[in-house]
Amino acid sequence: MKLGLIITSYNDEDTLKKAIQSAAIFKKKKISLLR
Amino acid sequence: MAHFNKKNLGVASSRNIGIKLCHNTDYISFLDADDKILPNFSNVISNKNIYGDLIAFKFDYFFNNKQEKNNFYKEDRVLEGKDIEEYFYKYLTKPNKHSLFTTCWAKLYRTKLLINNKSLYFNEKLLICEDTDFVFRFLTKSKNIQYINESVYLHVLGIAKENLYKLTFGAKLDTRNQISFLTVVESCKNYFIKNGHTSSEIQNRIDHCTDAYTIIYIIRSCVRINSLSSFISTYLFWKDIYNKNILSSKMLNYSFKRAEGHWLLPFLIKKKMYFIAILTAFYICNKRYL
Repeated sequence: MKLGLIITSYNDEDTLKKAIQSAAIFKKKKISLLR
Repeated sequence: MAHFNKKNLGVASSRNIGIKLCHNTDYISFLDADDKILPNFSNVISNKNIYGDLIAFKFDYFFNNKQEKNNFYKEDRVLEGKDIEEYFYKYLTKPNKHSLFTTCWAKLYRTKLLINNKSLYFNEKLLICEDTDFVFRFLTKSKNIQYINESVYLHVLGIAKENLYKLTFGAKLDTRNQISFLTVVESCKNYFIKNGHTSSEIQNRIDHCTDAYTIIYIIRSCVRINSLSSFISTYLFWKDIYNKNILSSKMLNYSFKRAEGHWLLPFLIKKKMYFIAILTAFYICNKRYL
């Protein structure tokens, strides 16, 4: 399954950073599952 | 990963950009930056038989450093039309207590259905309640709806002053956004009408829900009060809403017992004692949220 994950964040550095980290972790996990 | 840093678009508009960017996927899911996807999400979607237009997952709340579990259904199941109607009847009775379909996260949406029905996109005029409105309209178009009884999402609830920055409270938005729930209730009504009910069959429930939401949002709108002038403007806003009959102060079909709410605020509204009503709401708001 190809999943599009849409993350919305406030315009401040901290939450934006957290959001990008969440996305990166999820992508890594998904790749490891596909291998 | 695509990263767009467009400022001040509003959450509905930002999510719509995301939907267009995800046009070549099978499903779309949403994550709010202050929430968390639980580590089992990938395994759950890989191991379960996912085929519906809309898949709703169990989710947990994080509040006061504790994870609180929700209980919607006891097991995985396909939700038929009667299940969705049953859900809506419960929702219309207590709109703040039945949250399975009032949030856009912890769900998978079939991308094709969204891309082929632009009318299902987020309503960009709404800055509050836009997610509930989106899910209700998506439910109206969904043929197969699945519920997966595994928590995959952690929704972090704000504590005290954090609520000032939560979009749900719209403390930084124009006060008129506090009545966005009227669009949501209309979307719920449309679900029933598209499924063969007449407007008059459900109007009493719709009226009750509208009044229950009004009480909720009168209280929530008090989060913004930090001075005498902000108190006065909040009071004048609600007074104006009732004076212009945008909402009826008669609250004929509202029952605070059914809504499990307090009796005092609806009593004051019915008596048109708006100033004391806002004072009461301000007191409740401080006790509940701040």
